[in-house]
Amino acid sequence: MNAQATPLFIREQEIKHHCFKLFLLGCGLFLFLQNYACAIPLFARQTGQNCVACHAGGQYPELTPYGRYFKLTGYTIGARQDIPVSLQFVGGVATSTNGNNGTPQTQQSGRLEADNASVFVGGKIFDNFGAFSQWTYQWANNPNPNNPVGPNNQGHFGADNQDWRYADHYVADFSNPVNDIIWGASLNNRPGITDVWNSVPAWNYPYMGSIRNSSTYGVPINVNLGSTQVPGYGGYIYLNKNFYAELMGYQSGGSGPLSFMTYGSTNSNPNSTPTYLKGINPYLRLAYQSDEHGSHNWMVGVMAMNTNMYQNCIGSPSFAASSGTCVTPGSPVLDGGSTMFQDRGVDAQYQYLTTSHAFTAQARFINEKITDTAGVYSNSINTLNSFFAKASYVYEATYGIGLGFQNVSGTSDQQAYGVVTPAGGSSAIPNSVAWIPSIWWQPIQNVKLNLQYTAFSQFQGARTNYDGAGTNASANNATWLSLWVVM
Amino acid sequence: MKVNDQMKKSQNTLFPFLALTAILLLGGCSWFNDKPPVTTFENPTRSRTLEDYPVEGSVLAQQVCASCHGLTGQAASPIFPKLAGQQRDYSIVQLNSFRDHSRSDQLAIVYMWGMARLTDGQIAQLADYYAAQKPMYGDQIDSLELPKGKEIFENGIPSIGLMACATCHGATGGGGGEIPRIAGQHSEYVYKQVLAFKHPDQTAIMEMGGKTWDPKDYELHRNLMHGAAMNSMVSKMSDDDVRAVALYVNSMNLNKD
Repeated sequence: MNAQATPLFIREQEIKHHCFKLFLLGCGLFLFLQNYACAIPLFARQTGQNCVACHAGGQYPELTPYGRYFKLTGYTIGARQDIPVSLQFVGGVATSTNGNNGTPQTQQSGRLEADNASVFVGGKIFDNFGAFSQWTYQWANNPNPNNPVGPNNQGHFGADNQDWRYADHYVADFSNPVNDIIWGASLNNRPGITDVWNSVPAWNYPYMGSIRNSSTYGVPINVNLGSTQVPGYGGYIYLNKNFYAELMGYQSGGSGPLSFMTYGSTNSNPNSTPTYLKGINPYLRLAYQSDEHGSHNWMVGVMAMNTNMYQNCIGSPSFAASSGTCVTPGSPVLDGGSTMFQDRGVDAQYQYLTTSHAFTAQARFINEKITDTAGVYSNSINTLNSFFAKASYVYEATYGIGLGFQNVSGTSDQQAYGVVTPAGGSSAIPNSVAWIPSIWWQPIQNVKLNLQYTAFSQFQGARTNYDGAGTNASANNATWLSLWVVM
Repeated sequence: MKVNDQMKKSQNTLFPFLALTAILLLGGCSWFNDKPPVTTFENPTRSRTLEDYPVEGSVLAQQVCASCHGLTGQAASPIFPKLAGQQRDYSIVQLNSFRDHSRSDQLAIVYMWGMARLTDGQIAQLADYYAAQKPMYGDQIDSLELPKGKEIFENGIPSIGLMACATCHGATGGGGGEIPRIAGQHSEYVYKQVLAFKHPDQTAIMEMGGKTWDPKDYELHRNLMHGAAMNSMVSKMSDDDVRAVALYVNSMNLNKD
């Protein structure tokens, strides 16, 4: 092959290749636009209803009583869709009050930037089987040109929320003590993702944040429950629409049939390394949901989980296992001990819903005992307490206001929480307190403009000078103006 | 160089593979949609499936409608009307007008257009199901407006030519034929519906919370044919009058047994 022929040959190949891509894109657009007349997301097309039917005041992802029923019966109400697909985009601009002083804000840019784009598939599959299956492309959260090989410096596509369900619903006469039974089984990829209340970590406020400014999500350190993507399976039962019980087991994704639940996370991917768990890790959830009393309903519940986690070689920057052996970067350290997180939580939710007004409130407290033999923590035993509360009001599913509060406190641990801030100091105390107010406007139900603020009254141990180098908690305060579009 | 070739090769094969998978997936779903229930997988005795599917109306009432309207039609939430003991003919007219989109008030668009993807047979069965339930009962209402509401319900407002509600809906508010039972109905629901009759062309009233970027190929109205009597009557009422009547109606028939 001579030097002149090569470019021509490549060019021809490229042209063919591009034509094929364009053809497929055209086919896809044609299929999609056929359904454009009802250009609202998958579940709404399936039920033929508006978002507010299932989402309280239209604030995704908070569920109304009907939305809870829809999820518990396996996403099977309505008509199966020919094209079971919907799309979501989130982008915005994040800034901090004091520039980049705060540790987690080193990546924030203050420019208008895309955060993530998702495709949802699934919905009703059979009478008793349905799925909520979200796949997300996340833009690089650390697009640092000076650090071209560092972690999180490039976009990442992978499995997001997954909940594949089988469910059945039996109804009997009111004279029976048990007159309504919903039971089901779920294959999912995050503890708590199966939950239908919005007080569990997997679904609580603030529902979204900027991927380049972690302060937009609140406190920098929180409990482990619900924070890791791991496949799980189990069953649940809901009696008389009052008593709910759920038991799930979570394990590593690995490379077996469940690996699609953690698709995109691989040992060699510095942007997303998998979480490796030891054996099957139980998650238990019990709740009592009140009947609807006029516009009011409430629930109280408990949750518990034991997570026994291996460390992987590049997962945690503070990793320093002395006894562990790193075979390949990113692989789990199977002989280096493990970290056991024992989470025990209580939670509650209240909703007041009318056609024009939606007032909802949630609160949750989780106590976490961390027993470490992997050398990730300085102490062999640590405790972390996490409190969360939120109240929000939406008028006509259009104008919304919310206020969240987070308070995390625990034992000091140099190895796990020790951070060196840009100002030069350091802190090893996990204690942080954040207030997160937000206002939003949903001119149409597919579009939401959201302004979210995070105010820290305590950050890693203190209100002022938390790192010993003069940095105040408020230096981490962050604003996020975001656009959410779903179709 | 060799590594580059390999990478290029894998990229070239991956994309058509993904595209083919997607097309097969979509095609498969479409294929299933055109089929009668696949007995191995489907379960019409406890189904929540809408749109020309052989599910009994009573099954849909329990599996779908009950999630908002209650198992016996005694809806707890004031967003959703009570259907217990509702007049059969009224229910049939309403479900038909949800199905053909000729009723387009806010609640109809948001909740019912999708749900009313039913066959004529299912509509009749659902109407029978709710007509057979013990009539809806009201709520204890504590309001100074009740006497005014009672007065309008029983005697109308002669000075503006407003007929008494009882004239058509009956002295006990039980309705008859295509005229609905209203005794005990949620005041919030009654209020919103009367406003929809009063201002059928106001988008603010008709489609709150239901805004989408769908092409608006429908006209806003509430039961063009069947709502004519209500349209002409309630146009004379003030919103305060409507509120008083709605509260009074909700306070009627407190008998739970």
